[in-house]
Amino acid sequence: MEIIQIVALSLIASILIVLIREDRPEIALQMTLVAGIIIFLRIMNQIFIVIEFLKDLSQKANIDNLYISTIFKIIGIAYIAEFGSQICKDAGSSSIASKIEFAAKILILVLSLPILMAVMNLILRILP
Amino acid sequence: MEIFRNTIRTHDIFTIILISKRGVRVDVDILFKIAAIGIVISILSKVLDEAGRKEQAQLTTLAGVVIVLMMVIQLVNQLFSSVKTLFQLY
Repeated sequence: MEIIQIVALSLIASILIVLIREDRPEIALQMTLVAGIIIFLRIMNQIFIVIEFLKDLSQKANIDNLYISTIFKIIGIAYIAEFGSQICKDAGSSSIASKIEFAAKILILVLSLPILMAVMNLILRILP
Repeated sequence: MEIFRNTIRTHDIFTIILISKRGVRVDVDILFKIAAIGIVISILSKVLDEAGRKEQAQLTTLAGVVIVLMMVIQLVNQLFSSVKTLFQLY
């Protein structure tokens, strides 16, 4: 039962963080970061299983590897950016958090440009 | 069923690679360690403040932040490298 471990860990972590936040807000912030990282590393194996399954499925459906790897990259960028921006928001600097989100949006747009070009080419080939 | 078995095998290999690459698997201990450091540092800084040694209290606070940061940075590195391998972000 992985979920019970994770919920117990989160509850203990939040109690400790509330205890520490009064005196040392900076160490409380670092504890938040560590708790998030530990939870992610615990469910990483399951994420890996899901990704392998999706890859297998796409191979069976004869989808080009470019598209599926682009989607995974986009998911990774979105996850990292969300993580960072939430930590920044917790620390009270929400302007930096919104800048992280902006950068992530731009990076995702750049990654998805080849797919957009492929769609455009397809449309141009079909239209006339 | 074949797919599932295959997935499990690759997943085991992945775990082994991860363990051998990064040393020990991440544990909950670090959370309690950081909490203990925080409590000890706050008590020390209060005692030093009461004793009238403001500068040393400030330095204690700084040392605590640096020690915790050293531990956190390793974990953040681990998180980034595992996300990179997971989603093939190179």
